[in-house]
Amino acid sequence: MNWMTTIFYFFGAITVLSALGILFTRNVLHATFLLMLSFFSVAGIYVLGNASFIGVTQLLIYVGGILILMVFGLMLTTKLNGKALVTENHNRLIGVLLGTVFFSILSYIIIFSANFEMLKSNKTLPENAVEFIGINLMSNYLIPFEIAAILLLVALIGAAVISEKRKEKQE
Amino acid sequence: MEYASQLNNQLQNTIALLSGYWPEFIIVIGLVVTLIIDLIFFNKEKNSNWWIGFVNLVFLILAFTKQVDVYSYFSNLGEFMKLVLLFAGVLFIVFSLTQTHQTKKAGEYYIIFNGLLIGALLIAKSTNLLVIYLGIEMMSISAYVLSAFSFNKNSAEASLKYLLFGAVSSAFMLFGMSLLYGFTQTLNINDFELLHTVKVIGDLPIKLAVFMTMFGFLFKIAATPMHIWSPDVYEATPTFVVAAFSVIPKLAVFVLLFNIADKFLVFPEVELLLQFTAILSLTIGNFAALWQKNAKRMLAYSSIAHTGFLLIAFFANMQSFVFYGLVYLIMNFAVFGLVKVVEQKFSITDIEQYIGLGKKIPLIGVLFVVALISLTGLPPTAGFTAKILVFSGIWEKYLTNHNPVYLSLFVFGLFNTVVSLFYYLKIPYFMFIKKSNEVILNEHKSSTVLTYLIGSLVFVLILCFFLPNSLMDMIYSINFAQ
Repeated sequence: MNWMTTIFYFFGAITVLSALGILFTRNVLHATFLLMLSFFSVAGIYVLGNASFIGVTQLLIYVGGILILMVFGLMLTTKLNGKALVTENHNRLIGVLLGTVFFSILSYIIIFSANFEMLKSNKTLPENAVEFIGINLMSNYLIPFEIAAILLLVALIGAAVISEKRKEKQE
Repeated sequence: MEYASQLNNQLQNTIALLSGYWPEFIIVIGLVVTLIIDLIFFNKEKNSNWWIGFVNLVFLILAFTKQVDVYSYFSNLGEFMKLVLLFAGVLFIVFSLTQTHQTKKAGEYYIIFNGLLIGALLIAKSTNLLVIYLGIEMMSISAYVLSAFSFNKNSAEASLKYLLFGAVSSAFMLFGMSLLYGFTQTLNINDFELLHTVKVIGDLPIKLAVFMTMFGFLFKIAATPMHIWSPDVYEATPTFVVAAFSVIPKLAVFVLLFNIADKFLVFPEVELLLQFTAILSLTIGNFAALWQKNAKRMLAYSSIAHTGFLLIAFFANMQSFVFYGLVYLIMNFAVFGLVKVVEQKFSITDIEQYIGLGKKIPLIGVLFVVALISLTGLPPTAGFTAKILVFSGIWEKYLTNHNPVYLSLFVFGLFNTVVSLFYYLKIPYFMFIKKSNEVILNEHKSSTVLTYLIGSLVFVLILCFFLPNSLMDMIYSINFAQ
């Protein structure tokens, strides 16, 4: 086992363990920090897989954006009653059963019966991946790029509508 | 130098592609204009709601005319169904315009509806997994928000349920799509060589990927067993939005199913899954509808059952699907419009409260009867013609390849048509036949324009029964070979 493989397994283990931790902890703040750890190690895996651009975006968007937002949200809401935010679990038995069954199906089919050896592509990565991605986003993938922009606009307006404070009108 | 010319070529290709996206582009402009108008005139103009709706209507009609051009150029199923979807959008906005004083947050209402429509158009058009995913997400996110537009406790709950179910199904679908991309190394469905890939990767993983992708698609058309969200959502959502919900996403995803059919249905298991879903949706939708007390909830189950019929039409042939889809659109808009009229006039949605309404509002009662007969599929309405086309199509399929599944689709379809008679006729029964003890209901003013609109829709339903040729000619102008 060379050191690249070792680091890969290291990051993989952290990802899985912290994701399991999110499942088992009931304190939402702990879950958030574990999620951050999980995202960090996924970013590490991306970098190891030569997808450094995706790794950086993962850090920027998930860790830098979404998780910070979640932590702020938690800080502002726990201030109201001073207690830690704790979640409850329902239907634990069915959940565990379903999860295990689904996990075993997926792992059986994907890990053990897929023949990934044959998929080894002979495509070489371009030297400057960021430039490549940028040019493709603005040419071949222009339409999906613009669609994503509209999607975000609609989602933003939707979130604003739902969360807006309304005067309670009783009809 | 070579690099630059290559880049130039790429850009030229992209620009050439963009011309096919004019209708979507016009709707996006409409969306942005609405946003600006809403920001400027918010709460200042008394008639701002009306103006916003009118501006949207103008943009949608522009998009519709542009789509006519696009269709005359390509004339395939996707472009035709985009016309149908835009027509549904125009109907929705015209319906909403009759209620301007009641629409809450009109600006956002129309903006988010435009988002839903753009998503549906993209799904109907594209064969690229990335665009399909973005379209489905756009449609779903708009739908989650629109289902909260009653702004009360029930609708918040329904919206949250919809969001949770939808997010899970999207996650499944995305996982499936990512596997498909990994296995085939292309995002374009037309380039898929799944049978070839099976030889390389192995049988099970590809089927798993296809199944997971189909799971997401089936969720969007509310096919059993992915229908659990729909009754709650339909009950709590504003009635016109429900009419749009029951038509636009469904038809769009069905076009997508046609687009991917020759790639995904190479596996007999996938075909069997769809056929099984059709039978299950029919049976569960119809039988659950029998017990419903709320008109909107009953229609939710009826639309699940109609998903089953549309799936049968999917297996019969494209012509019968297009006919059924068009008629389904008109029927659903008419029926939900009538539910809205009654809701507005007497603020009731429970079927048992409809008692004796036939004498008070005879015109609406008669329209109700015709629309519901059409939903059942009895003459003299277009619903009958549509069902005849579907059943004869599936029977022909059975005669050509003697697959017992087609026979069971046929039998289950017929059987369920009979079952549906019982709950559809419950409304006319309460309105006209059951004797009432003069319940006094507060009567409000309702829009007469809306009643006339629905009247014209119902007239079209009857017209299409007696003169189906004009509609059939339109359908046969589609180039089905593609």
